[in-house]
Amino acid sequence: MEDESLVAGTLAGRPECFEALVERHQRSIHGLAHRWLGDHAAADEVVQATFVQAYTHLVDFRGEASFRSWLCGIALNQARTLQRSRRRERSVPLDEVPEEALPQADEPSAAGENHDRLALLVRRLPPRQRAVVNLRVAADLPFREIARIEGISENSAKVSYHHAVTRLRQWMGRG
Amino acid sequence: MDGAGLMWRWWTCRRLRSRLVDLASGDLPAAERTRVELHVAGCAACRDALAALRQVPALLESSESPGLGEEFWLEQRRSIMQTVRDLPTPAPVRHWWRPEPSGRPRRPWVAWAPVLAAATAVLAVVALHPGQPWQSSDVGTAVDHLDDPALLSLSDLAGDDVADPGLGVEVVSSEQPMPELSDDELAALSQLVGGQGR
Repeated sequence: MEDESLVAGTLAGRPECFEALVERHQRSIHGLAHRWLGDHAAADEVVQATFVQAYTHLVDFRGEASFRSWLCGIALNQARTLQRSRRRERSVPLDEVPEEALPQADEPSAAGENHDRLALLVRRLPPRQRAVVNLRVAADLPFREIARIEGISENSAKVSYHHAVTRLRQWMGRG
Repeated sequence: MDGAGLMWRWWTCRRLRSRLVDLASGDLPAAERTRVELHVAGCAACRDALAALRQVPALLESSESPGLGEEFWLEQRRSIMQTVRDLPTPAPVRHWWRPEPSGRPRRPWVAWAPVLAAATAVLAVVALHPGQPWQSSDVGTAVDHLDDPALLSLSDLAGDDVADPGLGVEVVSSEQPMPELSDDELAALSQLVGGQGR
């Protein structure tokens, strides 16, 4: 059954339709959130909040983009909100942080092939590039829908992706 | 390569960034592919960028977090549905004064209903009160009441027939008979009234 039919079923008062939507998309949304936040507990929190928000605002889904794309937009906002709140909770004056704990943003990665290192590097990208890369790689969305989520043109989304990927390659020490 | 040539190459590289992304993902139309590939063949920077666009996403995809067990997904789904079942079924919040939220209103007359109702009410008032409905018929009655001798005037309250002796204004009491006018006075008055009437 198509996502749109399941949405219509949910709006008609059949929660089992929404459960089918959750089952279909929970993995990709979790993957997107995990890439953004870096741990499964936080990603799980984002997935729960995303689906609850999607349910309460389901009437706002107009079918202009795919349901998955709409869901990814909600998830990305949830992940950003959670990240901001965590940052506020953990904020420590810089002079109290040990020197070795500070991020070395311009230093190329010595890890090379290390995939975990690559995931960490993605989290060091500027916010726009990070969002575009995650939506493209983790959620496998077309650039047209990424552009819609980020509120930019399709060309800008592609240029951001180009910058992000070339920068990642430089950081990996291959550039 | 001279300065103009370098500038031209730099500009071409900038313009081709989004095309390189399409080329790497296989989405570039055949008509453009030849032109972009020709540029890439002669441009080391774009060649490197194209290689990165092909390698890095593949590495990122393979760096997917280790698989979580089916139990995890089941528990996550159960938790979401438990929350969702406690919520009311999502339904559009409609206000009678607003048109349908998407696109053109399905029943355009609904949007005009308040205006039509107001216009009908005005027409009904006009029909039930011929003439000038904004002029109350009670006005004449109210004015008539002012002649009621039971009403007290300010001069009555003052207890004096002259409102202001300084001004020399004589207050004519309604209980006193009107003074008789001479013939000359009557003629002058009729001339004055006749002149105003013309």
